Amino acid sequence: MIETEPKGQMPGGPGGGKNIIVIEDLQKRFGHLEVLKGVDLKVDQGEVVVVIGPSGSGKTTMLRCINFLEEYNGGRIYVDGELVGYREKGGKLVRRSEGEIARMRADVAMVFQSFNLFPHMTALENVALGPIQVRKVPKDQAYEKAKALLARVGLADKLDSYPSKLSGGQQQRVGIARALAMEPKIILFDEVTSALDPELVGEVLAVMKQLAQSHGVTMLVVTHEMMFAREVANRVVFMDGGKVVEEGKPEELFSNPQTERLRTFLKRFFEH
Amino acid sequence: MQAILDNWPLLIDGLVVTIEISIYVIVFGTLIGLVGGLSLLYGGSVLRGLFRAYVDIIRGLPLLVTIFLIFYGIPAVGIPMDKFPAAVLALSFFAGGHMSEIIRGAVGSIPKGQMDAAASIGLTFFPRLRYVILPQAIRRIVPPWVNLCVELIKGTSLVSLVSITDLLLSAQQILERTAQPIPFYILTAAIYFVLCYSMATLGGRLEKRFAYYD
Repeated sequence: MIETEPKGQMPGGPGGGKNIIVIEDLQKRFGHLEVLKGVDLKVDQGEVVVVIGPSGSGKTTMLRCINFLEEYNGGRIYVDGELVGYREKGGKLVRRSEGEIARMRADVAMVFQSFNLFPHMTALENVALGPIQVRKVPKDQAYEKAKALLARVGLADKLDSYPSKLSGGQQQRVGIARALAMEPKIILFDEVTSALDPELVGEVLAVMKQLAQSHGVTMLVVTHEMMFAREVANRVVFMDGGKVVEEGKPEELFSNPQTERLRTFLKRFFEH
Repeated sequence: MQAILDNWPLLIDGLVVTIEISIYVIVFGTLIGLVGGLSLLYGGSVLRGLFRAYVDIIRGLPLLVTIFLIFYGIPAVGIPMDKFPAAVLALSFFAGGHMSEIIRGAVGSIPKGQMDAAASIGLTFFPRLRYVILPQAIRRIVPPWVNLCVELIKGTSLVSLVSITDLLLSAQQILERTAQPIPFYILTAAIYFVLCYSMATLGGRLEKRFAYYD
């Protein structure tokens, strides 16, 4: 599966779209700890890719690198053909300016495990902040759109609530609306149900499922929800030890794992 | 009583000086503190080192020593400066060091995820601070900020020792003439108390106001 064309512009994939993300030989170290040891991954426009793997396998770090919340030490990440975080100058990588990095981040939305809503803003303000301050959408227009998005995630009656007054599930749905408001090229979901009480997981997964089925939204989802992966993903990627070990269509990957590591991982999961 | 009535314009002049110095010092101190606190958190190693040294020096010196150092030090190195600005500079220098530490602590206590979330929607560094980090930090800044302001208002009385006619010095000048120390000291104490107490009350209100989102 590992191809080496740079700046993926090839057609293909279930959405028939081009590669919106191309990751080549991505490496990341924290001090002496090597977290990513050469990750290769491509995501097509409109595709829903679910990343599974044991904790510490580098899934979250990979997502954070795509949004350049972490600098990476080796390899390349391209979003829509543009190198993330750096420019190539005479074979060397030079960090992009703050403004360029911000512009690229605006096109890559992220939903966080710990929600990270802005506690001093209402649900509506949380969703509208990016469009107003980054996209320079006029305020009334941005609030109209934020209202529609909050309605879409089932929170039409919580527009003026502060996050402290919302349940975890509701907060996370605001988080999803906030991501959608940027009309991003891709949304990264970082274990978005892991911090939720079990009875609240369903409402968040339902919103994500509905998003996935609406097409057009490209999703890269790190999760431990195997049922979600099985039902919703176009493709499942298994990471272990800082590398992509296996990937494929969910039905193939789950029923016929090719590697011992994936077999062990799935066994542990489905025994519980 | 008659002595107070006769001399109150002088006392008011002194009070005005005290209030003026206090306002300047609080404003400049807060500005220095904002730059200092943010530099300590987000600055490069040079900037961080500079402000670290500044804050540590300020915290290790008695205020009066700082005042004498700047008040007599600046003319000594050949920079002409009037008494009033020199005193404001000295107190602001002191205030800025402590404010830096307050702001560093408050801003640094905002969870890292807030910066991540603000970055991920595409805000650059200063908008992240302005719209996301500082509005949350301010309620943690206010209580120690008010405490420091109260200390600063009281600390302005030290400028009487470099012969600036503030509230304390004007009271002393009056009582030297009238030879009635007790009533004038009580009156002066009462005025300082009212100043500081209203500052503390204002702080309590601010704190509530910035906690609107709980």
